Amino acid sequence: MMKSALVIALALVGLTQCNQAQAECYIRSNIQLTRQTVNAGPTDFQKLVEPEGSGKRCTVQYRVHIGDVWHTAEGSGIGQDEGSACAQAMDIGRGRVLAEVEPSRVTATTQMICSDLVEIRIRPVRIGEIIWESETDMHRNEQERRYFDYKQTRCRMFTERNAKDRNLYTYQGIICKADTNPMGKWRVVDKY
Amino acid sequence: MKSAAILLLCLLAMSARAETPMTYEQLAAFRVNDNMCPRIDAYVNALEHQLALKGLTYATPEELNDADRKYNAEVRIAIWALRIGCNNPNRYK
Repeated sequence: MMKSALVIALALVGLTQCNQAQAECYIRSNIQLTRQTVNAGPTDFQKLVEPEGSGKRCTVQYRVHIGDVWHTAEGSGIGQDEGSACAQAMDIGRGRVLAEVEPSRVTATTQMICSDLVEIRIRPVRIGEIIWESETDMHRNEQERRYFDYKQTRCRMFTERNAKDRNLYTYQGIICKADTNPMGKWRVVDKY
Repeated sequence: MKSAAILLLCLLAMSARAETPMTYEQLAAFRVNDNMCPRIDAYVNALEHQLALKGLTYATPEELNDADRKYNAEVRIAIWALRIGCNNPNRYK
């Protein structure tokens, strides 16, 4: 009697573990599926770390280009140290972007973010300017969206649409990393 | 293909010597190919010289008239096609 109860208990524990494992796999497959549609990023990381009780609160903001649009990922996390707080914030941010892009596939909790981080938007840029990568749009031609190396620097092409005298002009150009910091800004190298 | 590239380089060099910029139509016929990569510097210099002859070296495209904007774009597209293609040989394969 005792033995069969133990077997049932073990089976129940095993079943619970199994369900948990399936849940983890489900989330991972979601992220993988979405990554296939990511054209650029994550890029333009901004981070704000503040003291929170005995630990830290980290607010992150970064940009991911999915489909034809730059999305802003924002998240806030609390942890014992900066690393764990920011890791949590990154996860929440990723979940929010996934929820925005593929709402039917992701269940994410909403979170109010209040921060002084700069809101990045696509805008007309000038040659020589130092910018966030996602201030420029991806190239209209999908073949030209891939990053390339020029003078040992990571670069990509962009397109910019601009209205002038009731005409719509499409310019294209080149941006390259302004420094070796992977989280750093970009320089507008050419535009034509 | 190789002879066409050499011919184009000669045309660019002649134009540079004559201090007369190539026409838009001549530039529009410019087709970048792998054979140009060993002499990329010569091609890029010659193309940049075309921009200089037209006063377009530091051009801001929004401020150009239609003819100059097209000319400027045509030359820079060729320059970047050479720079990107020759430095990243697998990009377009």
